[in-house]
Amino acid sequence: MLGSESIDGSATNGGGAPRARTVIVAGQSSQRTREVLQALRGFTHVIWPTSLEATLEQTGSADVACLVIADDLHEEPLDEFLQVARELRRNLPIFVITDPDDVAEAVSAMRHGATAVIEIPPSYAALRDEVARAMQ
Amino acid sequence: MGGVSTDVLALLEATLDAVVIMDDRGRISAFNRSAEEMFGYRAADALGRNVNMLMTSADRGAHDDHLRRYLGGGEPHILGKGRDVRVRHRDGSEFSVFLSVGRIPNTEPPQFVGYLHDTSLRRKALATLERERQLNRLYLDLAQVMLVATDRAGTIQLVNQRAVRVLKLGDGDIMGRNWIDSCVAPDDRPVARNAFRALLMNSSDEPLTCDYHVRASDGEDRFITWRGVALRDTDEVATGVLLSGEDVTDQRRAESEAHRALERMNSVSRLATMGEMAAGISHELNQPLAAIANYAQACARLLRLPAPDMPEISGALEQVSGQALRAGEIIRRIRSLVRNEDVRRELQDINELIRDVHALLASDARVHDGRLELDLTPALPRVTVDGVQIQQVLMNLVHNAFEAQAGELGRVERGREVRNGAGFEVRIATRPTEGGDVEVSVSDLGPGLAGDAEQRIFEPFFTTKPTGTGLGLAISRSIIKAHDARLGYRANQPRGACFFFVLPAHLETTQ
Amino acid sequence: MKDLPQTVFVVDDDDAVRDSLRLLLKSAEITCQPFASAQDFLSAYDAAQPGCLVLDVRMPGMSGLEMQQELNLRGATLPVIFITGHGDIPMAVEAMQLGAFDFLQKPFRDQELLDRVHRALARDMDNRARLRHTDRIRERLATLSPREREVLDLVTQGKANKMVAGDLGVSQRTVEIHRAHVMQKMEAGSLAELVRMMMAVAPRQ
Repeated sequence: MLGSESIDGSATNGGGAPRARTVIVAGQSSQRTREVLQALRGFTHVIWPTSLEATLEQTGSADVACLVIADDLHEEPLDEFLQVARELRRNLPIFVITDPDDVAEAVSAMRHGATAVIEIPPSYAALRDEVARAMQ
Repeated sequence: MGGVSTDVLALLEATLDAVVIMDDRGRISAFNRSAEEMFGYRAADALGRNVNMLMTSADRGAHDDHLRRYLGGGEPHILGKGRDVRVRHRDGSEFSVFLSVGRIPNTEPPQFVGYLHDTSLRRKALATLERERQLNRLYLDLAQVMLVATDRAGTIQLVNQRAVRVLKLGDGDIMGRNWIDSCVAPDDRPVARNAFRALLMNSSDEPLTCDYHVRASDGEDRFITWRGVALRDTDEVATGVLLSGEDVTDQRRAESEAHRALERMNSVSRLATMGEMAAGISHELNQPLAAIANYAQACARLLRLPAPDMPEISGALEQVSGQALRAGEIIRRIRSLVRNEDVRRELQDINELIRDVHALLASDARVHDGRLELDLTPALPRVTVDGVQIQQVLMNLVHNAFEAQAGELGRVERGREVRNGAGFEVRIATRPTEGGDVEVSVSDLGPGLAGDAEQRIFEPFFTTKPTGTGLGLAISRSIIKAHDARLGYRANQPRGACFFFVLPAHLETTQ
Repeated sequence: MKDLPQTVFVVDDDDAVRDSLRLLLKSAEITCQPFASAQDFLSAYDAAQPGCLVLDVRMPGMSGLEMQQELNLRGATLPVIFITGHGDIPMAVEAMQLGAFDFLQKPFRDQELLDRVHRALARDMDNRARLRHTDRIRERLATLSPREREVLDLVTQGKANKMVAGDLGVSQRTVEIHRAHVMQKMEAGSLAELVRMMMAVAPRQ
């Protein structure tokens, strides 16, 4: 029941477990998704799963540091996906990339479970900062 | 010494020139002391020998021919004229002398006297002179300035290399041409002529300066700053002029470029100021718009209710028009600030100008959790200003003032102000000066300027702000300067900074 | 259910905006109470009053975001809808991270605002209901004796009665009796329900 997973859903470290290092990038195959992948090149392990299922599967893994949603997901509306991901991992940092000045979209993403919304262009630096922080 | 009297001989001994007398067969009959020194023979050894022995082998034969020809009644090739000849020393060395030969009158058979002047000294002197001349030439040519010398009529007598290059003279012969007609650009010739005349008439030693264009051989005009002196002879009469010129074409071009760049920076700064105010402007405009939207939509709903609340509805509609006008006012003020950059000086009421920009300034105040106080003396004389620019200066000063005070307490963050019970106060004041002009001041209660900053505050790129461009005050100062005024700083009482400028009042003619 | 009607608290320093919002809400038959500053609202704030907040971000004195933080400190759960004349994504993200319920840019369509207000009011009702629920659980917990509490904790960890007896050093029969009392006092119909109650009051990270 209340097993080794504590209530908030994150894996408890039995001391000595490796720090979460994987960044999952989700998003349809697009210029922006490719640019985001490019911007994250400095991080050791970045994966871009081919399907939504694979994404959700990976999201459940203990090794994941954060989830970056780079662009629309053609399988599902963003808000619904966010809700599912949020239910899956209560405390996982989820960053949503958005067009500049689309405040309404940003607010909606936040309400459905995003940890932060980052405008691109120009803020690749901000994205890297957030991901780096998620790794600690 | 047959035929030559002792008096004459005595004379010969006295002269420094070498004198050799020969008979009609070329035999030496007199050889003076100077000749002894010159040739290295003692007179006793020279007498009776042919004068040939003094000549170089090349000339020996020729001499005999000349003598024969002369005696034969031919042209005296040598008599009466002086010429340089090479002669031979006893030790075999050759050297040059200047020889003039004359027939001794009343001698039959004819005797000839030759005067030999050692030209090696003269040669040396000439060579030295030549070298000096060349050196002077070199100095002339090395000079970075153009040097042109002319006579009284303006005929060119000397040009140095620099002048040749600037005028692109190439191999063309410029000497002897008229300076003004050949080298000065047509439009500037009257000016150049006047200057020329002035130079010749100028009695002092001070050079006169005049600027005008020269035209190079390819038609390009260069702008030159000329300094000229008159050249005078020993009687102090002007014989010509010497002009020294500096090509300042590029410098002038650079100056006007710099001026244009400053103009551009002016507009950039204006944009930057506008950028800084963008948040305030956006906020300002969205307020009345939101109110209009809310009121109007509320009215629509109210009208659908069973018992519409009429007082509320009519009150709301009044508000709608009021807010629309408010928005219009704001837009008008913004437009006046981004209008084109033609400098338009007009008679303005300075208090009116300040009130016009007050709404925008007040918004900036709110962002900084501060108050903007206006302390405007009524009935001030009008001033002739470019209203847009003066407002820009005010925006810059007010913004700086708020930032200075905010800086004291920490960074002002978006939407989150640092609380300070007292609040900031920035005051814009207008008052008449003793001279009847109009002083405008912007003062704050911030930290003021510390020592070094007070000197440097108007320098371009000097800033006390971590993210400042350092241009605002420099540009404000240049705007005020263009209005024949000065942007100054003084410490505010009890603390803080006060920036002020005094605008000249327009003298109203009473009619 | 609570007797107090839900009130929308409007906090905005701009007179025209504040008044027009009041009228808009009134036209939608929603009770509204306007305030001209954050300070005014905080002085009058009573946590027992249900409703939601419509709050301007940029105000002199205490800003909207600062007021939100103050409310967080006080443990207030009133849903906050931010409105702003100048908003950008970083500002919106920050407001949401501070726990804002929604964020809207001026000017807005009346339906936009009203929809969010309705949602916020519904959320407030939910919050209060949940709070009452957990309050009640805590009240019941407080009625347990220390031994009963121990039994409760061990049982909800999934331990069988026999194990519990062993841990506590009592007989299995004793455990069964305690367990029955616990179920009764906690008004739980099953072990699963009991577990849910404990999860509901467990401290959140």
